[in-house]
Amino acid sequence: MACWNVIDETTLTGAAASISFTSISSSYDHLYLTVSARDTKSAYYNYLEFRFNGDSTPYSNTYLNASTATVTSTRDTSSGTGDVIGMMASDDALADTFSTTTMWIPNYSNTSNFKQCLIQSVVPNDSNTNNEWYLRLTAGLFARQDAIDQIRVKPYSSPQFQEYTSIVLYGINGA
Amino acid sequence: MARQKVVDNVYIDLTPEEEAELEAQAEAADLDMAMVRSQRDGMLRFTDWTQVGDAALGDHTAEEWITYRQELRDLLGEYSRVSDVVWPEDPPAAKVTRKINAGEAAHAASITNGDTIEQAQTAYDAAYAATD
Repeated sequence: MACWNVIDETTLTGAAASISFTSISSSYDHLYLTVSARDTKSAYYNYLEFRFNGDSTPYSNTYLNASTATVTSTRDTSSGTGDVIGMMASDDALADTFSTTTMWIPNYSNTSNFKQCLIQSVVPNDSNTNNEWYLRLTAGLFARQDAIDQIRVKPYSSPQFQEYTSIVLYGINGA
Repeated sequence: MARQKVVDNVYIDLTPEEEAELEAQAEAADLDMAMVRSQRDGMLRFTDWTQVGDAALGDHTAEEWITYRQELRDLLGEYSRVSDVVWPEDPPAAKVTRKINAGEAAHAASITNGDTIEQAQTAYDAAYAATD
């Protein structure tokens, strides 16, 4: 039976540009994050960046996106390529509405293979208008063999996370 | 007040270098039209149906939709910064905007004429209903 361990948990009591977890133990099989977030950008959504070990390269992203009735698939070649990317709610979304992102990083501490991750982001909004809500599935790749021992999470560009944004980092054993 | 980051649950002021990095990223993000292009492409796909010969367009004409879709196509040539982009309204939204503007103008004129709030509201409703 899988054992879920809360490694760390952050709930903001004020705005912050980023949230980081450092010195992550290598004693788990997998990492899992839950992110409930909203930022200060004047838009309905923004990119949510995950950076590992402080490295700005080499990352790669492949997406399924839905912000209209038509689902699209894209490769990330321009925006925020220094990280793996999910989506998050921004300040034009309905007040008090936060997005949810979950992220798996399997076998995060091995030193033989590159690290891949699965990110699922849902950005709800009380709107029927296209591009005022967003769903994204990301296949992220961190092409380094190093074990992951740091994770930084931040909104793309210069907006800040709003108060009550929360992130929980789990270590999974026996799964 | 300096912006802060949270590291292992501790709030820490950003260094000047980190602030400068954020500002540089903000500038680059404002010049990166990829998200605008993606949204624009989605809006075009979402309105493809309006150009099908026998589409039921309701209150709007195919020409109105053609104009709107051309404005979408022209968008990336007109703007070079995300912060400057003004999205065109699709025909149903544009119609609502026209109605609201006409209603608000009638309401303001009614108030200027010394009418009561109720009379101004009646003027608003009439102008809203009469505007196409």
